[in-house]
Amino acid sequence: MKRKNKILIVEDEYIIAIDLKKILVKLGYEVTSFVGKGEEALIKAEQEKPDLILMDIMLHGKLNGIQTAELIKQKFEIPVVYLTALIDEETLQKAKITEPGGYLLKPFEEKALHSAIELALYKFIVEKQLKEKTRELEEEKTNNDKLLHHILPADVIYELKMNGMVDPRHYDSISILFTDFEGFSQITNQLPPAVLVDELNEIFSAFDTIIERYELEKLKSIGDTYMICSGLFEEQDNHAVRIIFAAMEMLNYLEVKNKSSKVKWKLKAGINSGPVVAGVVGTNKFTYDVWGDAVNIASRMENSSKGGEINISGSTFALVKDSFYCEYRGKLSVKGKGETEMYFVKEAKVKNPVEILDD
Amino acid sequence: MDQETRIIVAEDESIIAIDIAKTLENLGYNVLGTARTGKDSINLARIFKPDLVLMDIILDDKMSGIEAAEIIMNELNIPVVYLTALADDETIQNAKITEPFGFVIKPFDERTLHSAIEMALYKYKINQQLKERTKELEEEKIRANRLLHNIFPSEIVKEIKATGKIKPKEFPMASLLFTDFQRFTEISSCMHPQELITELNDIFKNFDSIIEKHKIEKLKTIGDSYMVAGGLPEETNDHAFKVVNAAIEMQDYLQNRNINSKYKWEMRAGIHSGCIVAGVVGKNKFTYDVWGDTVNIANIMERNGIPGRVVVSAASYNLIRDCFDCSHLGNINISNNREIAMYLIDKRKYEEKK
Repeated sequence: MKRKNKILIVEDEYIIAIDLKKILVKLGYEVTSFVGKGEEALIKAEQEKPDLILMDIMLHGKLNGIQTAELIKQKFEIPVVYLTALIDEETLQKAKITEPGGYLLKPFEEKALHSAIELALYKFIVEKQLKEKTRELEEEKTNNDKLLHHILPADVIYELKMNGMVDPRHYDSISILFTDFEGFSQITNQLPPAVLVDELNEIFSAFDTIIERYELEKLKSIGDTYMICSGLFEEQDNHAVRIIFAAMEMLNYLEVKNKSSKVKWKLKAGINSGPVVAGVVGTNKFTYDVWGDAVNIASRMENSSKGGEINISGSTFALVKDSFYCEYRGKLSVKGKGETEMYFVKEAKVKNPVEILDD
Repeated sequence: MDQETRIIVAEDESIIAIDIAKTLENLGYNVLGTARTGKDSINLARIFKPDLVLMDIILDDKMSGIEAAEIIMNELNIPVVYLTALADDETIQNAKITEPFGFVIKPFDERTLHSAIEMALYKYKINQQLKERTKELEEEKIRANRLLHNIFPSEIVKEIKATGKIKPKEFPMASLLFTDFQRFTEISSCMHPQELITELNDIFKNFDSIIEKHKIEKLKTIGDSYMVAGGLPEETNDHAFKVVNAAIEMQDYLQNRNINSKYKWEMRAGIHSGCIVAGVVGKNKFTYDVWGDTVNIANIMERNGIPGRVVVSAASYNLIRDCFDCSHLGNINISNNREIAMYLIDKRKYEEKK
């Protein structure tokens, strides 16, 4: 058997209230109480949690029916049906603004009362369902957006949404940073797997935060290798400077972490600047990636770096020589491309652009 | 004022039909037409696509109003309000099954008719909205699932859904494949960027379906390198066999592709089997990844591989020697005087299932 719907009557004329109660009981509803004032209605609404409130518009208390209904709507989400002898347009409009479940003009027939109540209850339930679905939908959409941002850069997502595809793009000059850990294999062999992955998770999460602050693009991590780019999407003239400052901050972070950590991590960093092609390939496990000689040379720079050092190529040096003191290290032969110079970055000559912003 | 509501009346007694039409017009509705039979009412509804059909339950026809309403509501997605002189319970029960949007019992007054129609329109509208939201929600959920499966293997998606996180795990025995294109830098330097990405996309998409077919895991691509694991995150016994088979198929695919393709790609493929740690690290752009000596050795196998062929380490060889003819290629120096034997896969010893 279906549960009886509970109704609260707010009506200041006692005889009408008694009469209403009788009719409602006959129609199969449960009347929880009847009260004559808006203030009392608020208390009863909270205590009794009725399914619906029948509300006279003209009440003797401080609050009239419309004001009371408004408060009830804000606080308890209970549908209200107005009862009124007044039919002036202004009152009607006011009642409509508070989105009432409906209104009944006095004197009313039993049938009209019944259908007004049923309609109000029905509307309330389906509208609640609709709201609930809408909320779920919004939540799901937000989660999806977050997920998507884990896979692709924001600009690429935008392009994907606008055009349904991502066009590969050529960049004349960007900077690429590779880092990995000196002696990682030995560390791997010493640490229990769970500890190793936790450590990497902590470090890479911290790196991710740094990268975000410098507005650089993380491409991916590959085992213990961490790969980022600077100058994608918005072409920046200072992409090389920014990426070096970010690398310095990554080294600083590790230095601090090592003081209180059992495992002493030594980060090797390598940077190169040059042209790349960027895009997305494959159907599964795809990511945004970059291709080109410049990428390979950046990886070679990292291979030839040392723990705690940032090794940059001649092309990166040309872009940053006014911003950093660097130490010339000699030449590295690059397969098919002749030789490239290598420099260790020593110290900044200029202020960190991100820190300037923070000030 | 809203757009005029357009209504079709299905009523077999013409005097009543005219009367109803007049009443409706007085109420401000637009009566598009009246039908005498169920069939006519369906045809009219199909042609005019009204906002609502007012339907007598008993019609001058073999087809009852209820049957006609069923078609109008289910196929044409138009709300129907029943008109009936019968307070006959059974008929009303029958009508309720077809989910009507309302009833009006004859004789009716203007007000009852008005509120029944408004209620039906409201119910219809809100039901439509609810259906739409539900559909959108389903679509978003499918999208979410697809995204999750793009980032993680299915087993890991299950783990995330059940526990909300991913625990790193050690796999005592799994196989890893690395591939890389011979002379990639050289070839790609003469290509237009779009062309290069289109080529890679085409090849990797085909690799993706080969990997999927063999039920092993693509881990990621790194530039022109493609990385695959077998035996994780779900542990299996035949991981080396599956990975070798997939690698052979990838090479076969490329050889075939080269016949008609402008660019001839030659690829190295190297496999090693051993202990692997797998998990997820970082807070952005994270992927399911693997760590350990096994990863480095697999990579070394690939770098020392032979273009167009598949090479495996001794560890993998021992797992697959019964299924493939192999030849010993010599020993490779791994690190600190550690040497590992390398084998070339020659051919399958068994008939491939078609």
